[in-house]
Amino acid sequence: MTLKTADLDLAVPVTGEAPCRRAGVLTRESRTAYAFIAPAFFLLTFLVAYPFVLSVWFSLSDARVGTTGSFVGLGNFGRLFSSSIFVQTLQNSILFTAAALTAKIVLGMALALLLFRIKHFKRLIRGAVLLPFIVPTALSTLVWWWMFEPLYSVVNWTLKSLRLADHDIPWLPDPYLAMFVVILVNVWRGLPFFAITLLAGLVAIPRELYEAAEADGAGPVGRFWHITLPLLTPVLAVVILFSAIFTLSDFNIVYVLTKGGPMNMTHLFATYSFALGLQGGEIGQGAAVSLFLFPILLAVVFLQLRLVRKAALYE
Amino acid sequence: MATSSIGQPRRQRRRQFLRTAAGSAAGLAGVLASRQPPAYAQARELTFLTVASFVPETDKELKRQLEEWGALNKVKVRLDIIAHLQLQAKKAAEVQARSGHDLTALGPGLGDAELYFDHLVGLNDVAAEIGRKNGGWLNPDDYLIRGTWTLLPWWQPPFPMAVRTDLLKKLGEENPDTWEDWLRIGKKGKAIGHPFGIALGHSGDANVTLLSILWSYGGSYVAKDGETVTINSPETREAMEFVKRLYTEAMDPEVLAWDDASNNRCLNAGKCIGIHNPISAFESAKKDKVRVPGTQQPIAEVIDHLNTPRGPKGRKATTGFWCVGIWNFAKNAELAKDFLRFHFRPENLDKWVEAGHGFNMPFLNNLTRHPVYESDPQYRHIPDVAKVTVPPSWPGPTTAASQQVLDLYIIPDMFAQYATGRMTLDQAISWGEKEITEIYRRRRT
Amino acid sequence: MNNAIAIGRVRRTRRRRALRALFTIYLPVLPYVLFALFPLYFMLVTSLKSNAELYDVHSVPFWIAEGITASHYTLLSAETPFWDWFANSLIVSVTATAISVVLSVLAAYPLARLRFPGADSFGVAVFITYLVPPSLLFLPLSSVVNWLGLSDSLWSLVVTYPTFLVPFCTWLLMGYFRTVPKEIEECAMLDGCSRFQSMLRILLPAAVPGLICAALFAFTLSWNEFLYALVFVSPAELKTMTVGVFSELIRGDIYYWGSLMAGACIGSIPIVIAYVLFLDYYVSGLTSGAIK
Repeated sequence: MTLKTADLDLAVPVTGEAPCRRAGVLTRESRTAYAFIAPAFFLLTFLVAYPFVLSVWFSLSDARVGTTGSFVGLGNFGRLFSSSIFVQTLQNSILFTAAALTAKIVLGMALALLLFRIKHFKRLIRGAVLLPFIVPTALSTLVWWWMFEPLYSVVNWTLKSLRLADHDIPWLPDPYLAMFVVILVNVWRGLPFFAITLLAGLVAIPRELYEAAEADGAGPVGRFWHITLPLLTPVLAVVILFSAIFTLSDFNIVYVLTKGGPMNMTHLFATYSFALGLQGGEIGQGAAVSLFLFPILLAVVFLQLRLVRKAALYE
Repeated sequence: MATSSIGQPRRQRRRQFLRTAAGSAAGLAGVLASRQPPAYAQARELTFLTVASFVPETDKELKRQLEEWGALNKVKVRLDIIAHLQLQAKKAAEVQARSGHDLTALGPGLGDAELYFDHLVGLNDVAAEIGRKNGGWLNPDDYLIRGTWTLLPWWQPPFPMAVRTDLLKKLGEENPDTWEDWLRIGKKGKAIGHPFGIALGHSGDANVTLLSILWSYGGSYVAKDGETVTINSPETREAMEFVKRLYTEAMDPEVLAWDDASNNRCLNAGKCIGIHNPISAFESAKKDKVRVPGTQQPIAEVIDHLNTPRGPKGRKATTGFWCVGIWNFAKNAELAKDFLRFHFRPENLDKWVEAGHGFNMPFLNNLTRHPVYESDPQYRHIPDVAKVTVPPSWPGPTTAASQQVLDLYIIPDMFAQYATGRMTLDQAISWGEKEITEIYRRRRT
Repeated sequence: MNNAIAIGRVRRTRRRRALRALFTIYLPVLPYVLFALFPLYFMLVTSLKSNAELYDVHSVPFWIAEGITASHYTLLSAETPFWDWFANSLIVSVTATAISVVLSVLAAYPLARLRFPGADSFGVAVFITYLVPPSLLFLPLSSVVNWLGLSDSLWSLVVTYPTFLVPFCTWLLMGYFRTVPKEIEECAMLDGCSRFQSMLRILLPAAVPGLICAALFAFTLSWNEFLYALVFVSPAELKTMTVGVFSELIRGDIYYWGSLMAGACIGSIPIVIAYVLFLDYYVSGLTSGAIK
């Protein structure tokens, strides 16, 4: 269905319509299209593009809060590399995103396959699994904090009661455990999105394909590798893309649980840029931190959207 | 806890919104075109942004005063309250937009005076008048930023030691007064499951307590000139060795993840033998009727407050310096000044300090002798602590750079990195020196 | 005789199948469900516990031993303008969702159906919006909001929320529209309908699951939003629920845990109801929308 757009675009030069367009006369269709898009376009230009351009300017200037600052080129970015806290933040962000994403992909896939086969209590179970995603993050993160809080930690209480630990485990004080907790909470919150979206993808796969494979003697594993996975790839690609962006820019979880501590071992781009730009008032420096990955992300998004679209075209 | 709104009744405001909303798309277009907020009345109005006080009654009293002043002067008033952690984002946004409240709470720390120097109204006249009426400011030289008053130091929660008297008795200890005393007591306490507790994580309390220790051992992070970084000194090493011993021998590792509220909980849960904290822990234990674990005794009855400890080089402490200022983009700067004069009148400050149970001490000589500090033996040392309290940048002046050292928690991280053994003493100190030097260098240009 | 054996065999296979389902599906899914629900259960338990028990290190954290108390809920509703916050959240979320869905339908339609120069770039640009880090974007945005004269009014949120809702909804609806056969619309247009009419009368009724999915998503994000609501609106009675709860129940180094959790519980209810009602649409909306 979707391949028509692209095909016709390619075919345009051969048809008689082409010279018209080249001459700059808009077709009726284009005019309608622009009219339809205009409201969204203006909203995004005005409320996203303009502030964004301003942020980019900040990152290239020595702006402080309330001043426009003057141009310093890539000075802010250069300076970041000499800051050990930033280098630490970079490492943390990569570890955080990679670990959380991997866990969400693997568990999300497993959960989707299970949910797909559930016949009884279907709505109830699906609803329960979806809950972490829809409860207000700012408040649900607080619960997690309360669960890992050193003194009243229900986790430690359980471990001690079950005699699995003989002392309080320092979940948030230990840099590595703190990172683990932060990742855990991110997975808790993001898993439903993966599971439900992948489930939606599974539902869409035609049954006949499985029946045919079964007739050919393919086992469950074979069916997964040769039918489920390839057909889920486009969904998976989009979900991963979305999740990667949101995971990388996560703010709330770290801000509530650790404030970037202990010893800056859990700072992410968003929290460090917040500490620098807002608490310290160095907007320029803070903007540089938060825009640091923008060029890379832009390239990734561009490529991936291309791939997704191509995959969709030849479906 | 603040309840209903001041000024326009809230239901009415929302109804107005609904009515406007009913105009749907057309309404929105209208609003956009006229650039006129739909629910706004054009009257003389004074708005005040403050942080939720740790003792809720303080906010109620402040609101009462604002309303009283508003009624006297026929001005519509509005007091908005936000959590103190969110003040930073809010301030930055108001300055960026050059619009917001007339009066605003600033801090913690005097650093906002320099950070927002170009956006605050000069308050020399107001400060002089207030000082005159209240027996003078405590340390006026500290509050002058770039030689002028751009904000008024408003209140501080002094940091005494909160201790468990029953546990001290059990250990046979009396009147601990030095940091070394606390190391000894903490060691004994930890052996019976009641460790000592000071925060070593990313929290304001960690900054306060570690700076207090650093100074008590003769160290500092910046010199009087506000430029020379002095963190790399034998005194700092001594302080760091002490904190390492405190951490390994007298405390639990949980202190690395403590926020401002954790030590309160540690004391109130009956675990910690002593914490370095304002009296808020005691106040909430009293209010929540928390009991000593395993008994029916209210824990508040076995809590006492002692002077902030002294070290080999004397006794120094700091705290959050909460301030108040007027934006120069305020619509009613003169009204705002007038309310400041009103609020800082001796009789009004009196009531306000009373409402705060002594938690919120003004930076004015007469108020440190307020009767509230004699009303309960718990508070007897608070004025002593206030006397040795200095701004966090001591002995240097408060600058945007000194403030950033605190905001990025360089001092706690430096101490923690050595205490936990992640770095050697030399590594930790040179790490701290490099970060601090970089911050000061950046701010000079 | 033979018949009885056959029936027995059928029963046995049925039982075996049920057992297998139990072990391969229901038991494995159980840990997930527990993992998902436990923090929320804990939230509920905390909100119903008395302070004395809550702050007693020796009490069992899993349930309530010393009697259920409604005091945290009473405090919330008597001493804070909680119900105002709740109403504000509802108003803002519903309005922002409605605006976003309308704008997104308009934008998604041509992207899915029409040929015009720049279609691809617009599609990508919409997605790139999400790369802009919100933790700093709110500063320049606050200038814009102020310039529009919207600060300290719920309008500021109604206007700014669509910035992060429209891109996702557009993208989702674009996918969904493509799954609706073009031909039915072409028929309608031959009968004299305009583009707009055919979209309204033919396409949209066929795309209801997609619309519901987009609306649910938008509603969830608006309901959970924190930063803009904090920065653009200050009067107590105009705050949204999340911001209000944070500003009045965390007082310096004192957290009103019970009431915070009570707020979180009540705050989750509308969204849970929305999902219970529309869960099936949500999944089927995603099915077609998210994939294409």
